[in-house]
Amino acid sequence: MKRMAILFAVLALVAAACGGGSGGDTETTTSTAAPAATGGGDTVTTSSAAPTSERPGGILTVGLFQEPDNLNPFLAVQTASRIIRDLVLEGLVDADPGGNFIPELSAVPSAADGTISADGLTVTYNLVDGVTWSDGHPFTSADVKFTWETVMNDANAVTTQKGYDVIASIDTPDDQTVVVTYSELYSPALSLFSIPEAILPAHVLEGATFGEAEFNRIPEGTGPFMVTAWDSGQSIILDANPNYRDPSRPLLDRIVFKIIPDQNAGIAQMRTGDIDVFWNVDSGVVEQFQNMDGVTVQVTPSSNVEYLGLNLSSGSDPAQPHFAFGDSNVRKALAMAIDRTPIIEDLLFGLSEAATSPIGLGWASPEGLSNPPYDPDGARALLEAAGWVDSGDGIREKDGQRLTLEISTPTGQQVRELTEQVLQEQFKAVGIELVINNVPAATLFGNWAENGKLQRGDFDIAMDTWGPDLDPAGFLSILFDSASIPQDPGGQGWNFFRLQSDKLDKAIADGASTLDLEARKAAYRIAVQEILDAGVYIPLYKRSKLDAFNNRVVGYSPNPWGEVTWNAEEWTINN
Amino acid sequence: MLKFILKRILQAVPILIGISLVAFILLQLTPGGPTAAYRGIANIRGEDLARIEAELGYDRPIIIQYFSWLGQFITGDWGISFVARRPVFGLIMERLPATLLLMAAGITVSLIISVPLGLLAAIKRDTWVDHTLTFTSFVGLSIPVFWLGLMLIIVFSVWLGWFPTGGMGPPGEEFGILTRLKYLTLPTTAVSMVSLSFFTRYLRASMIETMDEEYMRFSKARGLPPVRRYMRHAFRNAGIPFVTVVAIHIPEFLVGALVVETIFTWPGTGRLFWDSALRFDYPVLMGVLVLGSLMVLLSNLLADVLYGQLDPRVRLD
Repeated sequence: MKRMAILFAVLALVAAACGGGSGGDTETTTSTAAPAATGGGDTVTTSSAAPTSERPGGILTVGLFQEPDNLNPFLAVQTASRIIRDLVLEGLVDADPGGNFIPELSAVPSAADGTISADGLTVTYNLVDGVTWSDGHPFTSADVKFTWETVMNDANAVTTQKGYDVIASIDTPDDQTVVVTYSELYSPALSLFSIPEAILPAHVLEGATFGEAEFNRIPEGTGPFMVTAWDSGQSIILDANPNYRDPSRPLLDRIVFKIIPDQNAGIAQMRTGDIDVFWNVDSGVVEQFQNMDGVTVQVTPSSNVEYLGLNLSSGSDPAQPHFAFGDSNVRKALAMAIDRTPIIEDLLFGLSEAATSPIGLGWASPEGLSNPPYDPDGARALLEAAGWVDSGDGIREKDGQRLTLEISTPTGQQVRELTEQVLQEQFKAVGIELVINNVPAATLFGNWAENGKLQRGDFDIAMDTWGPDLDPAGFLSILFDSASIPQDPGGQGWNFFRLQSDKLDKAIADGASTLDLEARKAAYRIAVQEILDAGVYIPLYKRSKLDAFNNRVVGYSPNPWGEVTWNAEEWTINN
Repeated sequence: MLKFILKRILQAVPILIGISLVAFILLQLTPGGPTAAYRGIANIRGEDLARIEAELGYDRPIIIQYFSWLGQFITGDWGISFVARRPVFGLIMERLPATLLLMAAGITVSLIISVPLGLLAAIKRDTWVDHTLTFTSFVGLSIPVFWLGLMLIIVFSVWLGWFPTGGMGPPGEEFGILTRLKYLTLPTTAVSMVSLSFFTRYLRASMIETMDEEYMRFSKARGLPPVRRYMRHAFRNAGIPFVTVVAIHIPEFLVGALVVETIFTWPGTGRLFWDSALRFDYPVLMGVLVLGSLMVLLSNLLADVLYGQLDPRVRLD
């Protein structure tokens, strides 16, 4: 009995020790941050140097279901990272909701004023005056040059050097001027250093590599906010940057990002008012947020399009046509057999709209496109003419081969699984049997060596989401250029449709051969038309971004090219 | 005794190496690989993936990667998280206290409640008290932890507003032990429910078995008072296997914490493991796996040591 008592005592001690220990940690972490809590909002601003009179202040809490991997724009791949770091780090230029470039740390270079040379190989940036890093150190052209050198240093293992590796040199004639010279024309040049990347502080990172840099977690930036604490697994705290160039911004004192990995927990915290904003609501639970008093679900269009990708080949060899999709009439019939209305109205609660193009948004998005109208009779007639006739049980066949097609999408996504079932019904109505064969994402999108289904051509129809960045050059060439057809050994592209079209290849190349936006628009219009005519890419709907906002948050406006916090310096809280 | 413990710790070393080797190879065999998260991003090209893999050493043969990992691991260098780009050791250590706290609270609460209930059920065997306890134990055993967690949040946080919905404390504020207890209450309830029911059932069975022994009937015949009979004679004997079971059961709290940590946004190693698995963060997964194995081995050792201490018939050497 005595020993049992000792055991209890030990357990109690362990509990107390752990409680005390981690409690202490939390206090030390947050003591570096400005005090908050009860009336802390005022303390933050008075203790800093920034003028406070016109700033309403306040603390806002945002729920993130994903914890950022890190906040380094050249290492991170998670969206949550960009949501936070876009408030801290800035690029040379930014994008407005219409997809047009706007100044950020620099004026927007243009051919009109000569800051883009006639041959497109020299781009001159005139930096904005009076910008400092949040520690007060001045921001200069040296930071831009340093950013390029850092990206090109292999020891930093950055995610991509694309574009940066065709820069021949960067000159900094003075502190406010950066002249970037390219060795070959790089059409998305204006996105470099900017979207989704940013300028790095030379005075902080000089002489170090990214390896274990504190910067990856607590980055030093020029933006309206600065990271003051990151409690792993719990929260990331951003406070107003007292050295921000516009003393009247941000309007809030502090934004707390709480990590809430579970959607249901997010619903509960929204209901209790523990969080003011919940980022990225699942379409499956959107109704629960919509039904909450005082909460609005903001719908932001995105460039991501949910589509069906048809395999033109039998297996991975583009020379072997697919038994059904080898015939363009079958592809056309498939497109005509799809009614998007029940998918959009019933499965997506009317919060998305039908997609008509792989480039659904932005300057490169062609106007006036429409899908072939829903026409089951027309589809039946096309299939009949192509030699696919009823085998007696309602499913068509030709030369003894049944018209049975397999559809694959990553497992575990409810809306997609339901969409497949809707399509199953619609295809059956025209005599096509659709078999659902969903696999884990890693199996579907695996590379050649891993026998990825798409790479190996081991599918009939794939349901996937993809969309272009602000500049569609990379997206079009990796998905549709015939040079991107995955093949042995170690094929790298994603033209898993195995679509080969000289006209398309030329249009993609033309679009990437100039910095003249009008000429590029014309080329991409041809490319998109060519893709749609080929019938291998059937756009279903535009993916919307859904974010829940407590109505006391004022100032949000949707921007398809930014993340939910893109204009958070303009947000206020009504109490 | 010391010799026994040392011997067991030495025996644990090859086991841990074996586990780590199997884990390492299994991780490498899963489709995806460390750069999986980067694929399908239009700006990241094949040459970028090759450059990253070469820079981080993922292009070497698996067995070389393993021994290089092992060599560093032994010297305390657990590698750098591929995702967070921070040292793995630090990443795990900053999460470990949260998990240990939740586990310790869970074990403590389970024992404080299950011991009296188990004794009561055994002593009041086959009465309505016992039947009620049996029924509630089975309910407790069969409730899925994630469901219980969500129900606790809905009832006690959303409806009643008594407890916070999640986290370890209010973000960005200083707080005291009372606030910490408030944040601890719901996750502890969720994490201890299954064990609590299991312990109650086990102790009841163990007690009943002991109480059926000859010497128990003899002690009754001697006219010993019931408290003395139950506590001194029955519980002391029934408690020996019970303590062993509790010690072996400790890793279960680690498993339970994995689910509970996600629902209650508790920043422990369980969630770190889950997040890392989703992101193919090998170095972190390896660190947590080895640490978890170590915990299982230590729990078993603890069970043996306690057994030797409590049962004078068992001598450890």
